[in-house]
Amino acid sequence: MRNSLRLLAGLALAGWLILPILPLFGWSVARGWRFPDLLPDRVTAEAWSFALSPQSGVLQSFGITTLIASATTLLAILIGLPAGRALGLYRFRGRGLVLLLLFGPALLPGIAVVFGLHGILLRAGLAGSIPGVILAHLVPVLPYATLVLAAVFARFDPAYEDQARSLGATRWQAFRSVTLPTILPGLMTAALFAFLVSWSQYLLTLSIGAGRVQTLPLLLFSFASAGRNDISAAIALLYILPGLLIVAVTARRITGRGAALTERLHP
Amino acid sequence: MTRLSLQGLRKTYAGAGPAAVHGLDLTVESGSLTALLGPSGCGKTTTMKLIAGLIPPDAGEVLLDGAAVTSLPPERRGVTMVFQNALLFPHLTIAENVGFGLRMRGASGIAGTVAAMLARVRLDGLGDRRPAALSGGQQQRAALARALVLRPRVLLLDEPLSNLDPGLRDEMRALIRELQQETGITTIVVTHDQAEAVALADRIALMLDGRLAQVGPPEDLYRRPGSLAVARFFGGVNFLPGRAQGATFHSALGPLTLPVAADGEHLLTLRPEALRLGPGPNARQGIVQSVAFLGTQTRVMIKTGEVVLQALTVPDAAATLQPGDEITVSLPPESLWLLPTRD
Repeated sequence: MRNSLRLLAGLALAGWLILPILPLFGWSVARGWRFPDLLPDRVTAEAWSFALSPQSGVLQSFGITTLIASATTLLAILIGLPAGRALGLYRFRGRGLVLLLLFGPALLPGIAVVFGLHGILLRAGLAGSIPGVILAHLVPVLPYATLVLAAVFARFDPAYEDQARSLGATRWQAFRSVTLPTILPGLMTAALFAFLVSWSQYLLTLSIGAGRVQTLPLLLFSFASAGRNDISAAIALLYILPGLLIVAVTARRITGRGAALTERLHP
Repeated sequence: MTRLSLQGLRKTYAGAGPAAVHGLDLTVESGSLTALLGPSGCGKTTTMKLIAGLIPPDAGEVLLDGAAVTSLPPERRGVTMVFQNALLFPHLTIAENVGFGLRMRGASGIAGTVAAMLARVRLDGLGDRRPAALSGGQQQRAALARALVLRPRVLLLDEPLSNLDPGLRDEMRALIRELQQETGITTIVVTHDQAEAVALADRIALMLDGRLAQVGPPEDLYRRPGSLAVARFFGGVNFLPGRAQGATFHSALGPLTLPVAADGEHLLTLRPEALRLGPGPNARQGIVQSVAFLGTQTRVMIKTGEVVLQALTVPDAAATLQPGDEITVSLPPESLWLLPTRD
């Protein structure tokens, strides 16, 4: 009885998450699919071949979005590692203030942040450029990365680093051979979520990119507002790809098979 | 073989930080095994970290064979510290843990060296296990092996026995002593347990409140304490204020014969196990106040005039004693020791 309830709940949840995605497959290959019809008049690969052709700019957008999300993730991890370490390991004066400053922009509505940010980046000559968009993405991404890493470091005993140093490891060797392998699962989680948060930015990219930085969500929105359901559906399917991959990877860890993964990463 | 010297080593922390160290001068002879003994919170671990280079001192120098290493980072000092909790790296096997320092150095032939070291600490065959699969005693031995395999100039062991069961403690103590004698590595063992320090070390450095109270062979600290605090830490309980005049000590117990001549105000002390139940030199009449059986010893409190003396004796010698009994006690002159009246 309990098992069947659990199965039912699982199915409902899966349905809730997966059902909205299913029509996308249909739309992306359909021609003339009106409301009461169960199946489209004609099935065609036109939308896909257009979406994947150079004229549509979809692949280029995919590249730019990947570039921006990767660079944002890298920066967020590079800044978030020392910040998360300090927040997770030490109780210092002004810790609350640091947290507030860090999370302030993430707590405010994006639309409120975007104008001030635009002004600053305009003056810095970065508006309308990829570096400018990357910096803007750091505003929502960095707090996520830092918070996850702070939680990771809160469970890390820094005495391990002292022990490594005392056994002859340099500061870098101690980090590389002891700290990094220990925090790697948490670091991966932080990086994956940083990537996803950047990947799904719309408003910040639109405003800071000033139309010159076409990421996938921007392109998707412009096709959707032009009423091209078929092309929008194809782009949307490409757009959710990284998210699905990340869910697959993290789900493996959550279900406990992650231990095997970490084993393989540090033989 | 390296001689370690500490000169005016000082470290304080703002607020409620780790225990401070207030100006430490200590020389540890080459190849010796010294116990750094003291109650918890006296600055022992801080001292170890200063020697290992894991924290910088506010002032003072750490010298190895006369050369200052104070500004060198921990990995370039040749000083290896073994922490209280073994701290084996959980993502590495035991063999990888033991080979860690060698790998950091880029040494070759690590596998053979590690296997020999594992056999030496009786962990042969366990090299492929993860630390979590080992018992507490095995983990401690692996941690010791991981440090010894580097042949450090100075080895620092922070409370190596405190996490072990009593049975394992003797075994580990013997192993540490054995390996230290074999390798001749200058070693400092931190402990809060005076019995452990006495059993393990050639010399004891007693640390109280961030300062060295006394340094010397274990017997010296027992029999010839330099201060009331040292005497108390080593189980001293009988203290009698008075004035020495030549070889006589005038106190509430009347004149007592001293082993050597002295002069002025002092605190006379006599170890409880040295107080004799029975006649002899410096004999006094007293009344038994209480008798407590402690297992290997019996504690007898005896009131002599206004003074209460405490004796520790073999249980047989006190078997028939009852509170209220009249008894003769004597204070053997060779066991009397004078302390300064204030620390």
